[in-house]
Amino acid sequence: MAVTIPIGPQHPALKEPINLTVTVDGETIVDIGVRLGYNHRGIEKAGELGNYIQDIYLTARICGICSHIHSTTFCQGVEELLGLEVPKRGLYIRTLVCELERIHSHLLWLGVAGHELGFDTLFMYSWRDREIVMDLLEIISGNRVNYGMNTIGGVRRNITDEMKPQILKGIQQLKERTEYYLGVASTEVTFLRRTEGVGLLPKEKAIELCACGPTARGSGVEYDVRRDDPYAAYPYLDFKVVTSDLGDVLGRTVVRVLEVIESCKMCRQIIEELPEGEFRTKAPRKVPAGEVVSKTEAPRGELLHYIRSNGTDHPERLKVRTPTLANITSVLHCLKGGYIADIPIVFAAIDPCMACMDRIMILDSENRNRKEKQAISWEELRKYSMKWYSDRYQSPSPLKGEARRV
Amino acid sequence: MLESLTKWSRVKSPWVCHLNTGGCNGCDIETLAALMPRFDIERFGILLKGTPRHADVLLCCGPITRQMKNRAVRIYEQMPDPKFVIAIGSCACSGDVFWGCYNVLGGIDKAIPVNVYIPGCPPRPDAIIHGVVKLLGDLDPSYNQLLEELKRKNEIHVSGE
Amino acid sequence: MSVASDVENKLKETFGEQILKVRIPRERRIFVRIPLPKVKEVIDYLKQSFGMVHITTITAVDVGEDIEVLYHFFCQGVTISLSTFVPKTNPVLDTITPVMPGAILYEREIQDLLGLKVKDHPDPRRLILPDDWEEGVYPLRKDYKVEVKEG
Repeated sequence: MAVTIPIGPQHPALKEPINLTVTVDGETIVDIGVRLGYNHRGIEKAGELGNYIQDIYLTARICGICSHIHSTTFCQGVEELLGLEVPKRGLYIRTLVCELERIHSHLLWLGVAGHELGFDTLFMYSWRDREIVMDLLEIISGNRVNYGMNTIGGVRRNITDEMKPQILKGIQQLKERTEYYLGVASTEVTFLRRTEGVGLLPKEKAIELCACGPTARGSGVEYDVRRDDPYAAYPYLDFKVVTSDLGDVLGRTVVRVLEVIESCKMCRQIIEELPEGEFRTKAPRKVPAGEVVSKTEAPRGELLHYIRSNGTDHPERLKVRTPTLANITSVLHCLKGGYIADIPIVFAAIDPCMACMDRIMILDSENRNRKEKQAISWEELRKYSMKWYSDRYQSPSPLKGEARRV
Repeated sequence: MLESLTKWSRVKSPWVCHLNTGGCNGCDIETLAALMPRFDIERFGILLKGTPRHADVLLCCGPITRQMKNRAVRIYEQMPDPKFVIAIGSCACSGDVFWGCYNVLGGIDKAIPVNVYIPGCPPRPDAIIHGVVKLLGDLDPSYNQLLEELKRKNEIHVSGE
Repeated sequence: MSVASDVENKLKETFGEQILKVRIPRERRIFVRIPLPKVKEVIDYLKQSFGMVHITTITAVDVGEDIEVLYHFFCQGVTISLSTFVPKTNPVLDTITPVMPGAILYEREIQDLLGLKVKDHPDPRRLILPDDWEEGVYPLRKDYKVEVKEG
């Protein structure tokens, strides 16, 4: 017998509006459906109505956490359509903000993951340290969130020599703190108990379901747009693609924490090798007709903008594919067979960003036609529970998902 | 007697519930940052609650989307009286860049009544603290002195005042 | 020889006249135009011979009489965009979900926003727009005009 429990759109475990329809048998999830769209705004249509300059700021507001990467993707697409050569200094500054944003996003995620695990100390600690990177972003751009750094042809603000020591100092502090968190994530018993073996996503499944970003890399899939399809200043930087073969929530955590350390190294290299010269060029208002696929690695994974221009000052079509949407099929797979108590952390482990994803929405359930009995009598429930427990403890093959929690 | 007790407790410890009605997350993370050790909104007794049934104040972020409108109204109705709504961010105030998007109705006030508007994209955590303390000042005038004190200590910056 | 031109040559060898147009705008990007009935076959072929298993997304663009559908794939460092035209009078195309399980959501997305009908889709219900959205209205078609509200 299965019981269906609705979770969300407003729920203590979820920070953003999403509706999960969870069908459980005892405490084991047998089926899960997702209803999104509480955040659907219609940005793709709005993008067709605005001109290119307006669209930079519109795409930045697709998501408040990864606003810079959205505008970067859009700007580099338009630059490719224009055939515009961006000065190297502009590319370096753009990449610096990208990496700082990745650090801020991953630390934010680490805190939220700690919160979902009931480990609020980690939540408070990592959010405190996140303020360091917020300060750096404020020094560079003048705002803590939604930096408005990008423009077509480069960036809008320069990095002065006075900023450099401040940034280097902040990065050093962050690196030390992150190394401490790496210790927490790999040794702290509370953390390990709640993450090891939870939300397993095998490598083959991750490839099949086209997962991307830290979700895929946590399952051992070596795919990173920064290396495989380099953009901005990434061809000039040394960095490693972090992967983990664990495939569970712990794997995804370790990947993110190590990525923060890699990002710190990249930021240091960018500051040290920052080329001299202009940081932007002038771009024409009208863009010749054409089409372009612009790809970047957002903190959550591969981000794609498809832009088609028609020779005027506004795009013909703007299509945005965000990483959360790609990972949502994987997370549904991860949740099935797990425990209901693990929903928040497994769901949080892909770092879902409803604001990004919810320009579209999904309703998914494979076996909807199963007979669901919602109300049962006390006697029925007692019989059912006795049967459930006797099945569970006497049969040689326990229910799926049981073996890992002994 | 009981009335003054409830008023005292409401003003000394307003419980808030956070609701994203379709925003970009920027205001959400700044709201959370206001609750974190650095800005520490909890020193005013403000506590984040998971359910609207426990909350006195609803913090709304983002423009109201068509799909979310009825849910927002339902959540508002679940809150016990007297209830207050704070619209955080330009989108929640008016719709901002999403004005005219086919699935966006506009600001939060298209769905539920709003007490305090905090503009900004996104507002800084100190602006959020400013907004919340202003609301408290409406309930109890002695909080207006606190506001002055915060401004003097440079903990909040008010432009245009 | 780069992977992109390798893809171009192999496709032309195998499908000949069926490959209508190939464009390599820069390194690591290739746009291939194919007729509608050949989509599944070409994807199958690329999957077999290049190990193409990662679909990034499906874009649909309203181009007047037709709707252009672009499948964006990624393999061996190259972004392959297969494009095809679907007439608006009969906006039906075959599902590729059995070949590419990751495509399930993207097919549902274009169904809702541009009114394409994906034949044999495992779960073709309405999914993208609000519950109270009108039937037969597709916001990303060019004839859908956003009404400017008061204020």
